[in-house]
Amino acid sequence: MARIADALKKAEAERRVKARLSGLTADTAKSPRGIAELPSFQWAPKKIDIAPPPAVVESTSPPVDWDVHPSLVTMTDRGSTVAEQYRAARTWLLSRLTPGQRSCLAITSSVPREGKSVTTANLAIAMAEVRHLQVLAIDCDLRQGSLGKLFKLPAVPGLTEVLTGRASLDEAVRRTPIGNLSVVTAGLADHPNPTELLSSTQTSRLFDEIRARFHFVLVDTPAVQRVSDVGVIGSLCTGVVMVVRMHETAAHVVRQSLRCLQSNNLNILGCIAAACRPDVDRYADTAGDREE
Amino acid sequence: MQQPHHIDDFSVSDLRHTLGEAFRVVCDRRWRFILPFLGVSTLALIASLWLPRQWSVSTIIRREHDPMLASMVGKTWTEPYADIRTRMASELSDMETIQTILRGMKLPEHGEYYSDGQLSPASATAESAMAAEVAAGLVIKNVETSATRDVVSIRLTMGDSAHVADILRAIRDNYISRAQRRTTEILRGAETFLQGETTRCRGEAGSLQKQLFELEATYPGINPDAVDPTQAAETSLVVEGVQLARKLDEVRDDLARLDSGNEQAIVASDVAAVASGAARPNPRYTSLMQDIEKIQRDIIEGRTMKMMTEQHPTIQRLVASLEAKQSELDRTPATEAEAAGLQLTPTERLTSRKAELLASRASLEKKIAANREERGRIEQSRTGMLQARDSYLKIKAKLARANEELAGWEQNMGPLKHVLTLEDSNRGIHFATVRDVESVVRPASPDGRVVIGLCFAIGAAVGVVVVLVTELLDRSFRTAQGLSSSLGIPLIESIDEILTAAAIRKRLIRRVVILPVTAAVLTLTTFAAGAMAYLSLQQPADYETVKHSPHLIFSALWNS
Repeated sequence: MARIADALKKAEAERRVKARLSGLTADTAKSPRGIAELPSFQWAPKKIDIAPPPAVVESTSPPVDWDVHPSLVTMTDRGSTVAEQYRAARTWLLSRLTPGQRSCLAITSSVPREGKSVTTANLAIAMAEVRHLQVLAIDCDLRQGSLGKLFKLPAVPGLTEVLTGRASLDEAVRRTPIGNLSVVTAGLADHPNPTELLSSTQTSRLFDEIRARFHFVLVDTPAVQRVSDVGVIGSLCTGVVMVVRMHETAAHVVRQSLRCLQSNNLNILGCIAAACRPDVDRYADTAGDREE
Repeated sequence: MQQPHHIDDFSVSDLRHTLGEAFRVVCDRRWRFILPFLGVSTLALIASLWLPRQWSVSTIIRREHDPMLASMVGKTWTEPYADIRTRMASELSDMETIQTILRGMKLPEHGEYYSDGQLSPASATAESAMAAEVAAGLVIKNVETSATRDVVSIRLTMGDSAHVADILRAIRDNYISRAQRRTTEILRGAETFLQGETTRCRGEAGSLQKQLFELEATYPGINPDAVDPTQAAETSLVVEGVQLARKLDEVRDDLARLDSGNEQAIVASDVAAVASGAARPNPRYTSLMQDIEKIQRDIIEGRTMKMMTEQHPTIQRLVASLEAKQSELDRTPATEAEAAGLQLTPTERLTSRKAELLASRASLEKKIAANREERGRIEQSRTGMLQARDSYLKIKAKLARANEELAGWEQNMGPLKHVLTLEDSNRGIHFATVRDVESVVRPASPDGRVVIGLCFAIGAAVGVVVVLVTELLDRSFRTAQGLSSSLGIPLIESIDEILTAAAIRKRLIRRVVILPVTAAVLTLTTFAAGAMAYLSLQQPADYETVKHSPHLIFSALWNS
C-alpha cells in the first residue's frame, strides 16, 4: 500500500511539473531557434536568447543503438528499478523549479568514486526524457573527468579547451543521439591549475552562456574533500546536489563536506543516497501491494 | 480501526528489530566471521601442537597391618602401622630419595658427570628440577581404608613421557623396600624385647619356686593343696602312745601281782602253756618278722619310686618303726617253749619275770616319753608352718603371675619368629602390588577435546570481535532516512546499487569462487590442524605416524 501511495505522489508531482513547464515551454516556444541554432561562444557580452521549449510535453524515446557505459541504466536498462529511481529524482528536482527559471545544478560528493558522474549522466538522460527540455551535462572535474567515458565520447575538445581558448563552446558541446541532451567533457587534464581556470571570469561567462542556451544544466564536479573547485563551481550554479555512497562513505566526512559547502553559502538542494542495497522485505511488500 | 498500542508491542517490536539487526549483521559480515574464525582456529590448533604435555601413570598397592604387631601387647607395637601410614606421603615425596632414584636411573638424560661420578652444576640443577617436578606430580590417594589394611593409589604426573612409568615404578619399589626394612627392624626390636621379657620372667619364676621349695622343706605341709605328712605322723604317735600306755598298765599290773604273792598262779599258768605247745613257733616272733619285711619294702619303695629323701617324714617314721620292730624282735623268743621259760626254775623264773617286767616298764615309760616329745615337736613345727603359710601363699601367687606373664611372652615369640622368617626370605605380606604401573598411551593433560574446543572458541571469539569491530568502525550511513535526518537536508532519492554485467560477474566470482574456495581451503586446513592436534593429544603414536605419512590421517582418525 505504501508503494501505491508513493506512486500516487509521484504522479501528482509529475502533474505539477508538467503544469509548471507548460508556462516555461509557452515562453520558449515563441523563439524560432531551437537547439540546432545554438549561439557561438563569444567573450563579449551579448543578449542571451532563451530557446523556447516545445509546446507539448512528452517523453522521448532514446535510440537503442547508443552505445554508452553499462552503468547508465536510464539508457541501457530503462525499465530497471534504478532507472525509475533516477526518474523519481528528476521529478523531485523539477518539482522544486520555479516556473520560467533555468536551472544549473552542481552534482558533487564528499570523496571521489561516490557516483557523481554516474548520477550526473543518468540524471541528464532522465531529464532529457522530458522532450521539450534542453539538457546539458558538463564535466567540471578538470583533473579526473569521467563523463566522456560514460557517454563514450572523445575527451577533446572539452571544457579545458574552451576555457583556455583552444576551442569554442560549439565545438565542445557534443550532441547525443538523444536530441535534447548535450554533453561537454572535461577535456585534456593538462592545465596546471584547474581551480584558477574555473575561478576565471571566462568560466562565469561560459556558465551564463550555457544557462542561456539550455533549460537544465547538470554540472559534474570534483569531490569536496579533494579540491576547492566545488565552491567555485557551486557559486555559478543555482543549487548543489550531494551524492552520498551508502555503506561506504563515513558520516563525519559527509557532514564535514556539507559544512564546507554551507560555509560557501551554496544552495544545497538535497542529497542522493547512492548504491543503496536492495531490501528484500521491501520488495516482498511491494509485490504484495501489487497483488492487492 | 487502529488498535491501541500495548506496551508489549513495543518490546516485541524492539526485539524483532534487534534480532533483525543481528541477523543483518550476521548475514552482511558472515565472511568477516568465517575467514577469521577458520584462520585463527587453524593457527590456534597448530599452536596447540607445541603445548606442553603432562603424562600420568598410576599404581595401586595394598598395605597390610601386620597381625603380629596388631596383637602384641603394648602401645609401642600398635603404632608402627599408623606411623607407616602417616609417613607414606612424606617418604614418597622426599626430595633426597627422589634424587637418589633419578641418579640411579641416570636421569635426566645427557647429564654430564665428572670423573669422580659427580654431576656437573648444570646437570645437578636439571636433576633437582626434575626431582621437584616428580615430587610435585606425586599424588597419593587412599582408595580403601580400614583398621587392618589400606589400598593406596600412587599417581605421578610429569612432562617426560619416556620415563614417567619407570620413575613411578622405582619410587614405589623403593618405598616398599624401605617400609619393609623398617617393619623388619620393628620386628627385630620386638623380638629382642620379647626375649628380654621372657628371660626376666623365667628368672623371677625360678627364684620364687626356690623360695617355695625352701618353705616346703622347712615347714612340711605348708602347702594347703597337698597332703599334710605331720598329720599322719601325729595320729600314729597318738595311737602308739595309747598302746604304750595300755602296755605299761599291764606291766604295772603284773608287777603288782608279783609283789602281792601270786607267784604260784603265774608259774602254774606258764606250765600249762608249755604243756600245750612246747615246740610251736612264737606267733609274735613271726608277726614281727613279717612287719619288718613290709617296712623295709616300703622304705625301698619310698626312696626309689617316690624319690623320698632321708629327711622325708614318711621315711623317718618308717625307719623309727623299723628300729622299734627290730628291737622287739631281738627280745622275743623264737618258740613258745622259750617264751614260757620252762627251762628255768620257778624262782629264777620269778626273778627273771620281775626283771623283765621292770625292764619292760622302763622301756615303755621311755617310749611314752619319746612319743610325747615327738608329738610336742610336731606340734611346734605345725605352729611355725601356720605362721609361714601367708608368705608361702604370696610367693605362690607371684609365681603364678610370673608364669602367666612368661607364657604370654612365649606365646608371642612363636608367630614373631615365623614372621621374621618370612621377612628374611622376602616373603612378607605387608605390601602387595594390586595394579602395576601401566605404560602411558596418551597425555593426561591437556585434554584433547578441551584444547580443540578452546581453539575453536578462540577462533569464534576473534571472528565475533572482527565482526563487532568492523561494525563499530563502520560509520557509514546505512539507511536513507538516517542520511537525511543526520545531514538535515532533504533526501532527493535513494538509488540502488547499479550492477553492471561486469560488476555482477565480478561479484559472482568473488562470492561463488574466491570466498568459497578460500573458505574451503581454510576449512581443510583447519580440519587437518584439528586432526593433528587431536591425534597429538589423544593418539600420540598415530600422530608420529601421520607426521611422516600425512595420507594416513584418515585411517588414523577412523581407528581412533
